[in-house]
Amino acid sequence: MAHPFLDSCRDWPARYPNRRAIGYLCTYVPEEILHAAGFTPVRLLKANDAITHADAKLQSYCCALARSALDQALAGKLGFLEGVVFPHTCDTIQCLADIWRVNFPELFVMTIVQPVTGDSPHAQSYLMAELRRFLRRLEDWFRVSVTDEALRDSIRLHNRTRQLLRQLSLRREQISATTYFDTLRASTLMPKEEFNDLLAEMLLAMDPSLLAKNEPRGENAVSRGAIELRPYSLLASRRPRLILAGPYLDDPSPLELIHSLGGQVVVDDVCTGSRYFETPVSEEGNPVQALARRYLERRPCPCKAGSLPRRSEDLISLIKAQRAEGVVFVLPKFCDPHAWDYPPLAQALDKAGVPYLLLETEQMVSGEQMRTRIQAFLEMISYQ
Amino acid sequence: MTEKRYKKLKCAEDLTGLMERHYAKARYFRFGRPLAWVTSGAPVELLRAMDVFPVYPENYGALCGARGEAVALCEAAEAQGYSGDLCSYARSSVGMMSQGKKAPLGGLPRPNLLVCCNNICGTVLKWYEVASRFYDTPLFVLDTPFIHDQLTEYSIQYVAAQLQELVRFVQKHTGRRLDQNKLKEIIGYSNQATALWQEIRELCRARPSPLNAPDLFINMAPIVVLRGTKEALGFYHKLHAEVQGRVQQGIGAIPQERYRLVWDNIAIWYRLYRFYSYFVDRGACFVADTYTGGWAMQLQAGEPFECLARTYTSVFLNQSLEYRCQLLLDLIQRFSADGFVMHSNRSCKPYSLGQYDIMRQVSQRSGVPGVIIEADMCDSRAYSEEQVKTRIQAFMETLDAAC
Ligand code: SF4
Ligand code: SF4
Repeated sequence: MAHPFLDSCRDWPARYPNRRAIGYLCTYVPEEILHAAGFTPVRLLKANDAITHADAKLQSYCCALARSALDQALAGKLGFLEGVVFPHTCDTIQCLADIWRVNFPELFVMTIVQPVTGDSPHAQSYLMAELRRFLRRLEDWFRVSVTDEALRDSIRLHNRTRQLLRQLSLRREQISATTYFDTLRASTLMPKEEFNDLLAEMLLAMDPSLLAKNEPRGENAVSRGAIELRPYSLLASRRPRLILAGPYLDDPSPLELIHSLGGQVVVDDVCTGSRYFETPVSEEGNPVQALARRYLERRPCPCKAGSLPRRSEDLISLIKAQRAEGVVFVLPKFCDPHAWDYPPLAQALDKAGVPYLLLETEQMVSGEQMRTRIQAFLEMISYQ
Repeated sequence: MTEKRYKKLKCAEDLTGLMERHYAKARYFRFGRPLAWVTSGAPVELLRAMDVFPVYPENYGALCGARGEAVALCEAAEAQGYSGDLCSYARSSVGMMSQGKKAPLGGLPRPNLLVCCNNICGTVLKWYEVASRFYDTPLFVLDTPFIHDQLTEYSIQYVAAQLQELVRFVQKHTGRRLDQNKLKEIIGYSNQATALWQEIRELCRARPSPLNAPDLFINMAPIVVLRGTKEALGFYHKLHAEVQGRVQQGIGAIPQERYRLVWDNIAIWYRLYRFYSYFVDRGACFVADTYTGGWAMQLQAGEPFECLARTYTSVFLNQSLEYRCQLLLDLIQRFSADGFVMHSNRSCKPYSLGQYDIMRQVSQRSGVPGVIIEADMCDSRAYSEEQVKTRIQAFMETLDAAC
């Protein structure tokens, strides 16, 4: 039996032969609009395959996410996508979008140029106009029409995904790091309707009391192999509580290592993690405005102007709220925005007396090195 | 000596004097005028019209790069935890902050204001925030939406509205008001100097070309740093006359022009002469480039805020890969170039990522060969002399075979 959670784009077309899909990069692309237009939004993530094609198109001083996404496309692994949508975040994504358009002229390739200054009084009307332009282009290209009603339905559907994922994150200590990671990845790859049902079942299995809160009942996710409950003995032990921070997590190994070495990640500040599901979209009023608001009000990514003070405060309050004892930064090499914020964030942690560890992926030649560094870090925390 | 193969312009001393005076004024003779650090694509006309004195950290970075002093500054930034993969202008600048007066040229004077426009890259957003924290100085960010296909009306309105905010910001922090007449006058100077700079570049369509890449790179400084001033205008008048004289007398920038090339990206500052001398030795002159033309944009007529919005949002680094392909193709054609050289500059992702596709497309469409050289504009640690030489050698052989 196939695992109920999809784990990569590879099996997508076989699993959903009758669905239409559009790819996107990064959480600044409104999935709701794609969904309302009749598409399943599929987030492009870094794959672990060796790069075979992208080297001819992208220099080596470019983050692994961009290189891998382009590589998958050039290698023909994303043939089921009818388009790819980019946000305007970092310089790398900006260039990648253009490279994509030049190499796949038959696809719908568009960038939503989000404002960088969320606090400018003019940002909202600009962003609404930009979202409307995106919507019109999508309608024209695919000859579909998107009503406000459809958009509102999509917003509700996606809010439900966000809510369920939040529920899961609150119970992450009950499941293995890998299960948590797989679930989040699946949420960005699978049709939300199917994913939501599956996750609701999984949550029920973990916490039957949710039934009282009107969570839908369903087939038991444990028997379908979606989750693997963790023995309680492990939970009881005293494990250093950590926060994981960075742009994305492309494989669960840092999480697993932390766990197997005796620590636990209690919460993450990662775009493939909590940044994906926090901040719902308002279900009231004009849906385009509601979407625009979410992007302007959500916790900003480091690509946004003036984001650091808020990011830094949030990190410190997260530490307090979660009684976290340390922060692990997982930063891919050549990711400028996050690299810029690392020294001031580290400084804020120094001031707060919270230890931290920097893991620069791509740099790490072996998992062994990562293991040693995490181990030393955990020991250091335990001594404190 | 590499300098011997480089025919010095008579204007060179004027330029040195002009730039020295600029830095001296910034430090000692501002007479109370507030000092702003601005990015190279900031709408500086507005600031000048409010009697603010602008300085350009990017120009400072280039100067340090050319003097071979950027690496030490970069290392100072790296010691503070900033990654060695970040833009080397930005790293140099961050390194300079912590060095105070010990930095090259005594460092840039402390800013009263910071004005950052993201029409060149996203790096400046982060860099200026570092400066804002370090100096505890107010920062204004002007957001100019990137143009992937077309410039929309609502983008122009968005930028124009922010320009109004910028005026209020400057007023709030300096007490100075915008003088509309002065703004018109400054836009006038800006446009005249721009037009002259454009004409000077066009003079290089002559055979032999009166200027080579190092000339273009060195002489672009005033069009960026002194944009909108009478001094810049005076300088470009003089330069124009001299370059025109060269054309009339058939004097070329290099001893024997056999090949005409176009350059893409920022200069390799720490090898400015030596790098190009490899080409000069083989009779290759860079007659045009994509970078120094970036500041040759005319401010359109009409309502000043809208014009400024339109112009500054349309700078070439804020436009798509297709646009930049077209730009390069156009230069190759108009300047009758035999080939082009692209500097893959690891500091500057927005300028460099996409060059592989640009090269393929431009070669295909123009029929002339191109080559990509991996380096960095200021960080000489990323430069491999041997690799570069081998590349150039191979490229010149292709040219020999093609021409
Ligand atoms: S933000 Fe960082 S990780 Fe994300 S695409 Fe940009 S450079 Fe890559
Ligand atoms: S990244 Fe490029 S455009 Fe931005 S400051 Fe550095 S060199 Fe200039």
